Parts: sequence; structure tokens; C-alpha cells
Amino acid sequence: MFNKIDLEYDGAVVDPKTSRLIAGLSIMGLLFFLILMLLNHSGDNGGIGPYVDQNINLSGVTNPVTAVLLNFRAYDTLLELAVLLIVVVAVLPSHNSQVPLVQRIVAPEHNLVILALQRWIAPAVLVFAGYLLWAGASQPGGAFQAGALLAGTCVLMFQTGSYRVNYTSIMARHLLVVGLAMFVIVGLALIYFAGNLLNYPANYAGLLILLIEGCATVSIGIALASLYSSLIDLSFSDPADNYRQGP
Amino acid sequence: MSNLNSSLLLPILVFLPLIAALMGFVISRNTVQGRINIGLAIVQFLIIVLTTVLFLDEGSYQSERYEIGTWGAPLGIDLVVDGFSILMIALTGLLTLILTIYSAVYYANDAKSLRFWPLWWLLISGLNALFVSGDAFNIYVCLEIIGLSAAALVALQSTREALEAALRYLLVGLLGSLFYLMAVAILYRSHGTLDLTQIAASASNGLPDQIAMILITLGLLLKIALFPLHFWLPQAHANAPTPVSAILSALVVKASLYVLIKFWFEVLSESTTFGASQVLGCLGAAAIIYGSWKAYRATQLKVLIAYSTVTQLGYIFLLFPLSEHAINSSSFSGSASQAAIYFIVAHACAKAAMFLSAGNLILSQGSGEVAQLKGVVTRDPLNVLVFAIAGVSLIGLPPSAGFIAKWLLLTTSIESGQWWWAVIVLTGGLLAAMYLFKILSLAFDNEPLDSCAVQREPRALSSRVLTAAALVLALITLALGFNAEFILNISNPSAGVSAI
Amino acid sequence: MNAELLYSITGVGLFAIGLLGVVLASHIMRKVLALNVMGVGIFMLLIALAKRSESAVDPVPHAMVLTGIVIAAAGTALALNLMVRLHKMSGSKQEEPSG
Repeated sequence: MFNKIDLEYDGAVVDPKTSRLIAGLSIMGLLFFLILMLLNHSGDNGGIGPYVDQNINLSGVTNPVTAVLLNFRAYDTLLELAVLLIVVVAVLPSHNSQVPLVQRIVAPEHNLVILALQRWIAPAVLVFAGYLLWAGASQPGGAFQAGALLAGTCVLMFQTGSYRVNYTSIMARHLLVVGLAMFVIVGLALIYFAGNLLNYPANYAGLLILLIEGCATVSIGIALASLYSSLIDLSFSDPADNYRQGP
Repeated sequence: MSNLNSSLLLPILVFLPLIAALMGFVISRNTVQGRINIGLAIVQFLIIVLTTVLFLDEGSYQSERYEIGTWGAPLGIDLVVDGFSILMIALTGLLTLILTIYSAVYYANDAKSLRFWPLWWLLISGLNALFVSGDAFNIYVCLEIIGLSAAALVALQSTREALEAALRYLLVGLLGSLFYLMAVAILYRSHGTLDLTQIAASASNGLPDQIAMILITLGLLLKIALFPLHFWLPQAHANAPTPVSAILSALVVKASLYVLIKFWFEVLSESTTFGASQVLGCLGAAAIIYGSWKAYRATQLKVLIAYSTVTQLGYIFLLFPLSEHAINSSSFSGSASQAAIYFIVAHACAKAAMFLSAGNLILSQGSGEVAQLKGVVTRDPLNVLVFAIAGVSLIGLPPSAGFIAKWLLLTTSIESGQWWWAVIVLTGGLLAAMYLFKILSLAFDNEPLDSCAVQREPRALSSRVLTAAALVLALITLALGFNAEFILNISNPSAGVSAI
Repeated sequence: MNAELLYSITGVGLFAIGLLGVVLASHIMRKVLALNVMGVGIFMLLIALAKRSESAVDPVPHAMVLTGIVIAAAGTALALNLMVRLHKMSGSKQEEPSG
């Protein structure tokens, strides 16, 4: 069982049959107990649902999932944006503020299908992302769904060769942090104005949530798109391989 | 400010490093980074000192709560501090300050600093957030922040070994977090809340809680790297940049340990059994023996220190059998928990000092080979001194923090009638002496190295700061040996109260 | 057996399958994928959890799943990035899935 995370990278390591068997059996045992638990213990039926229902009017939105994500448990969402930022920082190449955010380059060849997609689909997806963001207040939708769509649009627009995006330009860096920064600023400002972290006043709750979600959408979209670029464009991910370490 | 309360400062502890990370990401000028970050580290340290003083001043040692958004559990997320977490936060603040100063010099003229600082502050905000968190799912998010940023920091080195180690570290971390998340799902299913205190209130010895406890223990043991799940640790800690190695060994593994202790003794203490605690103790004992052996055999200085971390974590796991037996029900109080707390603090300071001095030695010698250290004492006496002091603490010789920690462990194991753990502790001390004196005897060797192409350069200011940082940590280790009461007082009365 | 139970059992089943994959797969890419399968299993359990009572849907597990998905995506992206960098560095060694 303890061979189990043999994460040897170039691993020609093939477990001996017995250890495979042991690992398999112990996981089967775990599965057995998990299923046994599911069958025999129905668990607490209430959950937090009733509390959410009671307070939904104070939250500023009518969709309960958005209320949990952006109001009741907004702190989790804030830290989650921090997780995204970690990966972006880790993946982005070294700083290059010379090149602007978007650059039009002359593509050697035009692919008719991609051109058509860019012209017809991309604007529609963009509008739909905006709609999802707005709709998140009352029905399924919100910053993450909209951000994912935005990222898709970015990939469609920028990976075809007619544009080049510099995700490390000053502009891009600001866009990447704006979601988390807005969250932090609003949260801290509310300590001053409302006396508690992320304690939205009832009148402004909807507006503040929309503001945070709007900024978060931009950050998430750009972040996901930059992660995508870092994987497909090998020259992109060149994080200072040759620098010496330390002073 | 009569109504100033330590709990009011808790959000600041999370948000200040976040702001620092955002600034580090947006500000692109390499030259100002170091100074800004030292300033922020000092501010953070002062806030943490203020929080600690306020907490101690309140004197009740009750756990304090901060309700985010005034919703309160179970709807919202509560931040909670008790004696143990205050101690961990104070440790984080102290080490962050010293290591930030060290890093500011270490990365002074390095393009990597643009990437290093945001990750560094995100890691610290994750640590702070974890230590103040009172919510099961929030702890999952914090664990992920810590795991991802730590892996990204290891990968900073960009050598093949470092990337491999980082990848392995990342995947192990993700696997451990997934185990933990599964346990959270099960806990939510059976308790209908995510707040730790409320889960503890309705915890029972039923099957769901037991499975959750097993999953949490497995997942966190992976992250803590208890033998035999330690396979990822030596490479990750040895290949990271020096300040990162220090914080990984001193704080990051302790963060997972903190969560495990919280669940084991406070939240799900009903589901723990004597047998399980003995198993953990045995694994700890195996870690002590095996880690010492591997450390003795290591040819790279940082690998040796990393294996020593495996060993020292083994000692902390003796806490589980010892506290179980002492009072017949597991709770995080009594002499065993004091020994563990003291061990955590002592090891954090000593190991950070040791990694820093090793990093300095490697910088000045130009190689991480143990054999290169022959006669190094004449060339770099101060760093060898730091290494020796830290080593004394790790072996457990007086006067050092390590001595007190081991003394507490020994007396506890004798008192509780489990003398076999005392034998392990003593053997471990001898083994530690074996591998550390090997280094020191090499360092004090007068024979000039044959292939000694290392020419002495005039000591730059930067290298003096690097040495000073290591020296300060070593002196703290010594001072802790004389002020044991101070640490024990922070944690002791609270531990009894916070154990539910 | 009601729908909630069926989904829950499928969820823990996926978790076990993913775990098996992490343990037994030899290629690192498969391990990353298996980790994602494990995550999906947990998310499924959580979604089933949300619909335990007949009356209303509990939104908290939904929010947990949304948060979890973003974190899983971030972790996967970092793992893939490290793999790509290693691949660049070490050439063909990664090519052969020896499992």
C-alpha cells in the first residue's frame, strides 16, 4: 500500500504483483466501508439549507448558491481566488512589460473555420458570459461560469495566430489581480464601514456582490486563458531557467 | 481602545499577506521589492505580537471567535483562536520576519524575486488563515493554498531535480487534500454543519466519524510525511531555495500537523482509539530510526537536513500514544501535549537556523556535497557555529530548546508507564548525534582539502546579513532553552480549556 | 434505494477508482487524471448530499463543489505546467507510458 504514490517521473517502476494486490484490496476495503456507511447512516437531514433560506433576503441576491458563494461563505471564495493567483504566478513567465497586452500580428495563413468562429461565435459567447454574470443573482450562473466562458473566448481569439497576448504586461497583471484585489478592498472597507469583515449592508449587498463578481469574472477569465497558453505554447513557459540562484 | 480584542485582529493576519502578495505581483521593480517586503514583514510581526499580547492579557485562555460577515456558524465562517493556534501564529510571525529579511538579501539581484515574493506571501497568508480557521471546508481551501504555493516555490529553482520534486510534492499534496475533502463531505453528511466546534459537539463513535477520522489521518500523514509516507519530503525540501527549505521544514509540515492534532484531540476525539494511537507512535518511532539512518548516509548537506526533519516529525508523533495513555481519554492537554508543542517550536527554530546556515555554507563553498565541508570552520566559522547550535538542539543536549522538549517527552513516557517510547527517544538522540557530529567533525578537520579550489572572497554585506539571520534563529533556539516557561504558559492553560 | 443513495454510491465508487488509478498507474499523466477522477467522485457525493431532504436543495454543497472545481482546475494546471517544463528539459523520457 505504501508503494502507492510512486510518483517517479520517468518511472519504469512497475509494482510487484503482491503490492498491487494489497493496494487494490485495501482500497476495496475502504470502498466497502464507505458504501456501508452510506447505506446505514442517512445522516443529518437539515444541513445548512434552512439557515440559508432564512437569511436569503438579507444576502442581496435571490439565488441561494450565489448567496452562499459571495455572501455567507464569501471568505472561501476569496481564498479560492488566491489559489488561482498562486498558479498564475507560478506559471507565468518572467516579467515583460514592454509588449502591450494585445498585439495584432500578421498571420501567415488564415483558417476559414477559425475565422468564421471568431467572427460569429466569439461575440455571442462574450455576450452570453455577461448574461451569466448578471443572471447569477437570481438563477444558476455567476462569476465562475462567466469567467470560464470568457476564458474560452480568449482562447478562441488569441490562439489562432492573428493576435498575440502578453499575459505579463502591466495591463494583464492588473487584470489578473483585480478580482482578488476588489474582494480584499471591499472586505476591508466593510470592516471600517460596517464593523465586520465582508459584512455587506443590506441595501448595497446586491451591488457590491455584482461589483466583486464582475472583477472576479475578468480575473478568472484571463487567468484560465493564461494557464491554457502556458500549456500549449512552450516558448511561453520559460521561467528564467538560466538565472543563477541567490546573490 | 478598551474594546480591542484579539479576535478583531484575526482577519488582518490573513489579509495583510494577501495585500503583500498582490503588491508583489503588480509592482515590477526588482529594486524596491526587498525593502517593501521587509517593511510588510515587520508590520505583520507587530500585529501578531499585539494579537498575542491581547490574547494573553485577556487571561481567560478561552478560544476566541470572529464571525465573518456576522452570520456566525453554521451559516457563515468563523475564525477561531485558542492557545495552540496563537502559538503557531506567533511562530509564523517570528519566522516570517527573519526569513523575509533573509530572502530579501538572497533574492536581491535575482529576476526570480518577481515570482518569489507573491508566492511567498500567499504561502504565509495560507498559513495564517489555516491557524485561525474554525471551519472544516475553509481548512481544505487553506491546505490547498499552502500545498500549491509550496510546490510552486520548490519549482522556482527550475532545475530538473527541483521540478521533479515539486511535481511529486504537488501531487502528494493534492492527494492528501482530496482525502481530507472526502472526510469533510462525510462529516457534512452526518453532522449537517462545517463548523468544527459544532461538529465536535455532535461527534460520536459512529461509523461515519470513524471513516472521516481515518481519511483525515491518512491524508494529513501524507502531507506531514510521516514514515513511510515521507518519500517525497527529502527531495522537495532539499531542492528548494534556501529560505523556502527553511519555511517548508519549520512551518508547512507543522500546518498539516496542526490540523491533524485539532481533529484528533478536539473535533473527532471520540473516534480515536488506543490502538490507532499506538500505530501512530510506532510509525513515529520507525521514522526516528529510519530517518536517522538515511541522514547518516546522505551525501548532500540539504538532503541530510531534510531527513533530519523526517526524524524530528517522528518524535512529535509520540504525542499520540503518550497523551492517550496519560489521561485515559485523548485530549490535547497534559504533559504530552506540552512536550509536543515545545517540540514543534524548538524544531521550527532549530531547523530553520540549520537550513539557513547550510544554505550559506553551500553558497560560500559552491557545492552542497557533504565532503566539501572538510575544514570549513576556518573559512566560515560563524555559519558552522549556527549549524552546531541548531544541531545541539536537534540532538537534545542542554542548554537548548531541543533538550527541554526531549526532557518533557522522556518524563511523560516514564510517568505514563510507556517506557519503550523513552528508549526510542534516547536512541534517536544518539543517532542524531551520529549524523550531526559527522558533519561537525568534517567541518573542524584541519587537513586542507586537496581539491580546494575555493578561494576566499571578501565577505560582502549581503553574506553578513544572511549569516546574521541564521545566527539570530540559532540564538532564539538557545534562548528558548532558558525560557521554557514562556512557551508552556501560552499553550498550557488554554490546552485544557480548548479540548472539548 | 433512492436516487440520492445511487448518486452517493457512484461518487464513492469514482473516488475509489481514482485512488486505484493514482496508486497503480505508472505514468504521471494518468496519475493526474486519476486525481481528477477522485475529485469528481467527491463532488458527486456532495451534489447528492444537497438533495437529501425532499423539500429544498441545500446550496452549501453546491458552493463547495464550485469552489472545489476551481481549486482542482488550478492544481491540475500547475501539475501540467510542471510536466511540460520537465518534458522540455528531459526530452523523450516522458513520452513512453510504461503502464
